[in-house]
Amino acid sequence: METKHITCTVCPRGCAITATKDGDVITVEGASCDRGRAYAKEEMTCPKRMLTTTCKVSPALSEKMKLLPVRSAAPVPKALLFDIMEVCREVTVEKKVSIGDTVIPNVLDTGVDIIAAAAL
Amino acid sequence: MISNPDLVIVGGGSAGMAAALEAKKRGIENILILETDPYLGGVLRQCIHTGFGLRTFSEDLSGPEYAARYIERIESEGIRYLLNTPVLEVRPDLTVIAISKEEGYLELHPKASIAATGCRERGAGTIAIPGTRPAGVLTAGTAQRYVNIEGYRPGKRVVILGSGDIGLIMARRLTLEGAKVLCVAELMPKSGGLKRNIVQCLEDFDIPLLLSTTVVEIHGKDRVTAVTLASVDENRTPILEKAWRVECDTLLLSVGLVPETELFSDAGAAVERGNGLTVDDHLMSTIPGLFGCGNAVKVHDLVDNVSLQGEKAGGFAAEYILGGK
Ligand SMILES: Cc1cc2nc3c(=O)[nH]c(=O)nc-3n(C[C@H](O)[C@H](O)[C@H](O)COP(=O)(O)OP(=O)(O)OC[C@H]3O[C@@H](n4cnc5c(N)ncnc54)[C@H](O)[C@@H]3O)c2cc1C
Ligand code: SF4
Repeated sequence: METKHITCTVCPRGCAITATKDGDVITVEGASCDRGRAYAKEEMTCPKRMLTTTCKVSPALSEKMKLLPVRSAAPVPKALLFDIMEVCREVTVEKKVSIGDTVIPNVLDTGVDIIAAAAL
Repeated sequence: MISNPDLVIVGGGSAGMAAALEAKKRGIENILILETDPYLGGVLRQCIHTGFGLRTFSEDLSGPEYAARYIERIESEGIRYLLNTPVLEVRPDLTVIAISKEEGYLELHPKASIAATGCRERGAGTIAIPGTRPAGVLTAGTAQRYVNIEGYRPGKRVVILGSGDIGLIMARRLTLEGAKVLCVAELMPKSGGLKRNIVQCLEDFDIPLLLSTTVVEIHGKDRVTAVTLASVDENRTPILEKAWRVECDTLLLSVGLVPETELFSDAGAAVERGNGLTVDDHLMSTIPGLFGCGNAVKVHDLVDNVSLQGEKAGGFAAEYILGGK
């Protein structure tokens, strides 16, 4: 049996959740809503986080913006954050993008795209 | 040429944009936003992390995305704004003096104005740490701009003083960028940052949060080489006998934000000590026709509340103008 005290970060309320894992059964206490319960279950199995960073912008494309803010379209496994950062560092944006456009598809086979968080 | 606007908004961040949109909705046609930066959005531009708009849009947006939603509406409503236009003076009769890169010297006589100038960070000059002020001591917000907009990392081994949200966000950002964040020291027995930031920015990366701890000395001549940390007692007095030294090349300060109000206090508007512009329940300052909103009035944790207050100020300013007062 494994017990974890988790601060829910899904919304600013920050409920204090206690999750217990007993074999395959996970029980959650202290969450005020279903989103929080789902989050606590995921924290016990495969914690995920949003990743926000920047990618270089080709100087030929924009003099004003050296960096394009990008983000993961959905949370990615926490264990992969540094590896994904490595991938993002190596990318230079060469063409115009709008908010939400894919910059790196299916990053490291996570099924999650890295998308533009600003327009260029 | 700029025709004389009915409503001038000083500052094009979240507060100013929300105010402009609401005033337009209430029938004020001739609005002008004056913004000193080369873009609208204010501080959101450099806040590339997510956590914005959970209330307003029920979505977890990054700062630039949240700003873009408002900028689009400003454009589609045809609300005029001037970028690269610092406001230099506001007078008690509401005269606004600004210098615009495009339009040159401007002297405007609006019927109402809104103070939406945001806040600035307390810097190294305002805190009493003995020792030198070598390179490598900078505010967390400045570091945020370096990393997220200029694309350069301020240091490799970092100590952060103050556990406000900007400090926490930067602890994660610099860690992801490959720097070693050694610790976050907080003078108070409790962090003022949002819980989600303590979890996702510190605990996730095993960065220690040292409560009731402060920096008592900065070492290094040209560049920071180390800082001395010490725990403080219940009177916030450092216990120097038990101080310890941490080798680092960067000290980030996240020791508080101060509303940007000089323009308006110079005009005679009342300002609460160490705080924002004094406003009544119609968000009007002590100068009739001068309203205030956002971080210029009070430092807000959540942008959603800033937008909400901006909207209210825009509505009250519109009523004031239409009431012909
Ligand atoms: C680092 C950081 C992280 C944050 N994280 C979150 C978060 O995760 N979630 C959340 O909801 N909120 C967050 N916030 C809070 C929220 O984003 C801000 O409180 C809000 O955006 C402030 O809006 P504002 O319009 O009052 O000020 P600002 O955005 O600062 O806008 C003020 C504008 O006025 C302009 N200006 C100032 N003086 C003049 C002058 N004399 N002439 C012309 N223009 C002038 C400035 O250039 C600026 O553009 C964060 C804030 C910071 C600083
Ligand atoms: S459990 Fe629900 S209400 Fe509580 S913090 Fe999580 S999302 Fe918010």
